[in-house]
Amino acid sequence: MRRFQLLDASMAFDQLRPVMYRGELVALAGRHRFHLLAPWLDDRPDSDPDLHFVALLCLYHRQVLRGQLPHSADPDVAERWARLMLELPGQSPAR
Amino acid sequence: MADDYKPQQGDEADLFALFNDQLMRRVQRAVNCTPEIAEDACSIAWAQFLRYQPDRSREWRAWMFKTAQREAWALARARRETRSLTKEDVRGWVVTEPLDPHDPFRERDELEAAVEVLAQLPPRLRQIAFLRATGHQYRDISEMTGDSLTRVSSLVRRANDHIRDALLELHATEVTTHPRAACLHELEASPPDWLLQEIGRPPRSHGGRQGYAKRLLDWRRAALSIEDYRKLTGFDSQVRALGLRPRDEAPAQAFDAAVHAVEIVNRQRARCQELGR
Repeated sequence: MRRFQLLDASMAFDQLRPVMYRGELVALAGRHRFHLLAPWLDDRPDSDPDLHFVALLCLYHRQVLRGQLPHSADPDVAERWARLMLELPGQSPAR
Repeated sequence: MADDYKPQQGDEADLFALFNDQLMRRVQRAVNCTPEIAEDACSIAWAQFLRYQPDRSREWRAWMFKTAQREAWALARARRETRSLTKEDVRGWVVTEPLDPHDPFRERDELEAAVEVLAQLPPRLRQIAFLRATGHQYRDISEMTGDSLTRVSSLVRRANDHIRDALLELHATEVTTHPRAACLHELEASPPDWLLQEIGRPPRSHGGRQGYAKRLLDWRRAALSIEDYRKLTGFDSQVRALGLRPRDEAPAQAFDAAVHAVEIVNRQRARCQELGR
């Protein structure tokens, strides 16, 4: 029994969603972590607006995976959500 | 976006959706690591995929697996190296062996040898050998190449034969500095009459036919056994390889070993003659 539990635990991968930005795969988002993939993001400073935007996209996908936002098949929804977040008071892409 | 990166081809998200689960499972199974390490390693591999944009018509899956596997090893090793010391560890000041037992220089040599061997294979077999070397099962190879399982099995066997032959040749040319290997090299390059009389010339490859490697190995064993016997007993006939069976134990054992090895070679030669090889 214990062995089966261990096997189950070893196979427990966090689901990852591909994060798209301007039609390109730029990151992977999970429930707990995300991974930046696009090579052009490597050298960007923390204040970079594109980097901020991609981070918001990752947050969107995390919320979807956690069930806090509805899943949408429309690939533009994530970007619209991120833009909306940036337009909220107190938010700035270069914050 | 910077211009010095290869542009994406538009299929990256689809390829991720198709392949990532399989990749993570394979990496975790191959490295025996945690799901987090497998996830990190595969993410790094995908980042490399975006950066280098490998040719989709070639073995990019195998390349991805190898990249992720290498990253998983590195991450797992780093995790072990940064493990906190307990009070007991500090109290005892136990000095342990280095965590990585691999010799990087030997590994590099082996890698170079493997690459050299792979390069000698025909492209079809090279593809199969590469997929097998990167841990893919027959069923996976069948899916990737579109060949039936039987065909894959046949190709793997042929690739193994080629690799064995190439390794033997590589080994024979590399280790000539060792006295025993130098002796064997000389016997192979210009067999003396007594050796030709007893076991003939070294077998030659006939386009990678199965069994060549074994025949060559048996020939070499016989040649060295005879040489051992001659050195031990001082027997120096130019036309006969072996004399009478000595009475003393050690020379008698060397004689028996040589006779046994010669019999194996001669049986194989007779069989090959029957088959017209």
